[in-house]
Amino acid sequence: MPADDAIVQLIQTGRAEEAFERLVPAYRRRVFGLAYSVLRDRGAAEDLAQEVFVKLWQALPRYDGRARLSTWIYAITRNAAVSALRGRRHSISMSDPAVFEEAENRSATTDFGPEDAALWRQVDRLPEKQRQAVILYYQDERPVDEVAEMMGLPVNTVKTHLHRARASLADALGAGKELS
Amino acid sequence: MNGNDPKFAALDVRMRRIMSGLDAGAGFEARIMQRVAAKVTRADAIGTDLRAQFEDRRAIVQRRLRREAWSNAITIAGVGAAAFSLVWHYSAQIGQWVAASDLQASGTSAALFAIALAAVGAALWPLRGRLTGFLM
Repeated sequence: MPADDAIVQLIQTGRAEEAFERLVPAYRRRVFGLAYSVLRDRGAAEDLAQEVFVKLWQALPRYDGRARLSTWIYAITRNAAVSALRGRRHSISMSDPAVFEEAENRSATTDFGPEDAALWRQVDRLPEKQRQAVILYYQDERPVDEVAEMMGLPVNTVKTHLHRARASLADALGAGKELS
Repeated sequence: MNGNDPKFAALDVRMRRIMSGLDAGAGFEARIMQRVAAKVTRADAIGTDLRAQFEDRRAIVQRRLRREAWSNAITIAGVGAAAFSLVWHYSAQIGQWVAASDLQASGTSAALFAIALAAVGAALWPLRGRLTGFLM
């Protein structure tokens, strides 16, 4: 990616601050999308994306270029998201599982209009990896190999997840279950 | 991937519409920059605090060394005064002992004096650092 090359060049010439100023707009949607695909909550995803960028700002001078910049950023985001999800599940399960379910439904449906909320609920019911693949695939009409890189999975695995997810959603859409 | 499959066409349209709005809120980048700036300020404050702590500790150590140098000097002066008064008190007996012995005649007094000086020097050698601190 040409933007990545320019950012890496800035880092390698010791201009990490300038690199960071370019990195934030370049990765904003991708980091947020990845966080959202794991957490399924806009506020939590935004908080996490902020934390990830602050971490990146701290770590950027130490980036050695061995891994691709995007791979490095996605790995940091995934790890942070998984940690946040574990913490959230733990804190909610301490009180009541019903509260967790209700909170998840509310966070999913209030982000969209009533027509799309039902479709979103179907997305929300997908198995975790299928749901993540679908969100990342449709967010910016990304190629499957980029979705695979974001998820840290092989391309063929992501293709399988996507196919199953889309088939399941298309069936639901065709059957008109909850989607109108 | 299944891009032309009519089965997915309607789904793709709706999903793209839903997911295209999936983005962080307005002011996201400004908030990041604020957080980064806050981190920098905090790091600076921590640096300043560490420097202040270092200076405090250095001043404490300097005061302690000066105090120890004074106490060493007083001890040395006290021991010296005691030795001098002892020699002064027994000067007659020492004089008699020297006169009775043949130290003067044998010319070994210079050698004894040199040995005594070396012994005093060896005794004071470990204190040289503290004496330097005391004198500064």
